[in-house]
Amino acid sequence: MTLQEALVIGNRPAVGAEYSLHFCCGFQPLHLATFLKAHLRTRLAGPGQGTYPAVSIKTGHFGDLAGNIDKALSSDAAQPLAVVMEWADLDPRLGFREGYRPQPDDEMAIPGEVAGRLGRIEKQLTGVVGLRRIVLGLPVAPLATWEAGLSGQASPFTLELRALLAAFAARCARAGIRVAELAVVPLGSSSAYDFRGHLQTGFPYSTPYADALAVNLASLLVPLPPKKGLVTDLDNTVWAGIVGDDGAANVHWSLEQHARAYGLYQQCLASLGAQGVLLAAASKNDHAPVSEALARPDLLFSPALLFPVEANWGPKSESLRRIAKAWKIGLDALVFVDDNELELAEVRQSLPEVECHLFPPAFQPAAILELVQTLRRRFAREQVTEEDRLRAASLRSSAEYAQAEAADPEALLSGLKASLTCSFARGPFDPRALELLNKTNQFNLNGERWEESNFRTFVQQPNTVLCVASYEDRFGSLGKIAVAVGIVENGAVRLRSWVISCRAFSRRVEFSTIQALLDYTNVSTLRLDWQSTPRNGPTREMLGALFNGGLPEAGMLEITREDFEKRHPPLYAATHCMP
Amino acid sequence: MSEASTQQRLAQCFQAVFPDIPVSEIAGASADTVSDWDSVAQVTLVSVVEEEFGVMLAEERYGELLSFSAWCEHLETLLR
Repeated sequence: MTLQEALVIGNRPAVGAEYSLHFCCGFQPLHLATFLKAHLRTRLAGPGQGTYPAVSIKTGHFGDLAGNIDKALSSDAAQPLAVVMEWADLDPRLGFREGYRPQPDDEMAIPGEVAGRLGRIEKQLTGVVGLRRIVLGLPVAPLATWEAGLSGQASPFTLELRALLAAFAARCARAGIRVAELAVVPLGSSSAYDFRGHLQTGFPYSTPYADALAVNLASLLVPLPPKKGLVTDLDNTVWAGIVGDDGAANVHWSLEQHARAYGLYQQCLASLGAQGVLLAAASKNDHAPVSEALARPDLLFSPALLFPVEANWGPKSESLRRIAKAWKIGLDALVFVDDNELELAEVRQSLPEVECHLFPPAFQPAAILELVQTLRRRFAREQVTEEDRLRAASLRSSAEYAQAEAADPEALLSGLKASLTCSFARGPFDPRALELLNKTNQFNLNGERWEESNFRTFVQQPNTVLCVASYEDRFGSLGKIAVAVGIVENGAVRLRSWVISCRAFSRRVEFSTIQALLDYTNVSTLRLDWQSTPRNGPTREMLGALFNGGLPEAGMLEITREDFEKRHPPLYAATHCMP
Repeated sequence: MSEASTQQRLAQCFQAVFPDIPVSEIAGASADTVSDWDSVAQVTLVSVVEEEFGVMLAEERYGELLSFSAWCEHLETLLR
């Protein structure tokens, strides 16, 4: 993005709720604030959107990083905070803009000063990281050092300063602060530090670097929802060779067989699987050779992670449809990787929602490494939750569940030994609750998405009720699968948002959750802020049954406890309410 | 580079930095007539123009570049 483009995006008319950010630095924020605003507006608007929400960035005073952080922390408790530090903030003697006469004891004195200031900033930030989102950018300006030494030699002094900074950043990251990766300046651009600009204006960065840093900060402040599932081809993708022709023993992924890049891709699959990304295979093959190859003990990932494996001679788009159905996720949550341009074109044409990536040919290992890095970004999530780890296993259980359900649904439900635990705790902040609210489409009361700081503020209001439900039965645990958030008013609980993971469908969790809400809040009426969306058909169906059909497109629905008791189907899950 | 296209590109730079100036008034804009034209706006304008035209402006000229016409004239000299 150019500075001019950033300014144009920043100037566009605002629609919807304002996103407010404190941006703390000790330099003149100038173009970094401009780029940050533009990238935040773009991310908040979402892909293909022509409307941009308002973004307000509050900055502080020049040369007072710690004071600016104090000021930001003393304001609204839930507002996100971006902190970008430079060496001069840690000791003015390290800045290029400040003049001072070097002293013989600088090498001893400066690290102490830096350690002290880092300690203060760490204390400021880690003390409040549970209450608000904090992102941190680290210094990139060169260190002003006048020491003697060989050309190209790193001095003990600079190494010590960098070690202090790295240890500080690691402690901050462990405490939950999102530390921005050092932004990469695009090829052909000037370096990150702009001495001329720094001297003239107090802004230390080149515009390409300011743009790249703003991208990193914005992606940490407003992470985009990750893709959910990866469908991969097998031949010349997971391994080098055609298993149907070469045989399972003669497909390769090792360095010795000049096929290491395929092994790297397998390790990528293992890593994604461990993070809860759903993995499946779609291969034009017979099942037998594929099964034989996937049984090889030297694979670098567990083949059990691939579920389902679609090995057939039909169109890949049909395989992808079946996989999405088995996973119970939308096609727009899928990524497809194949080495064959024709297969990718067929999928793109039939299923334009699916994101397709070409697996590069073996003679381009660097491109394969780039693909692996791209996939890591497309599935990147802030943290891997227990639910993420359970997801793949629970999908296999779902397949067994579906078979049992088809035989005798009522007998299945009554024999599930199901347990629903509803937590009504409003703190500490639960990222899984927010994730469910923001990524669930099918059972979603109205499609409302929550910005993190608004959610944190809302749940802390005195009359708010927040219910996070976890479910397990004899097929296994599904983890946290439902979230309801609303307020208690005038003898009723009014839900502003209510979502249930599609993995928990057909278990009557929706009715048990209502029961728990009414019991816990001890009210006689349930009100729902209903809004039909293009994707919440299952919610419409359930509410239609509860309200005897005829739902409006939007509006407040109301049902008394008495009517609910009459209308809900038999509930077999043991429900536990936790304060 | 023709004069017209230089003026058009410069006008786009002005529009980005001063979104409240009507397009029809950009040619006559100056620091005296545009209330938002402060030191931060001037620094931003310098960066946007440098980026757009691939030039580097000398700091000592900043104080003279306080109108659209002054900018046009200076750019014409630089790009000649």
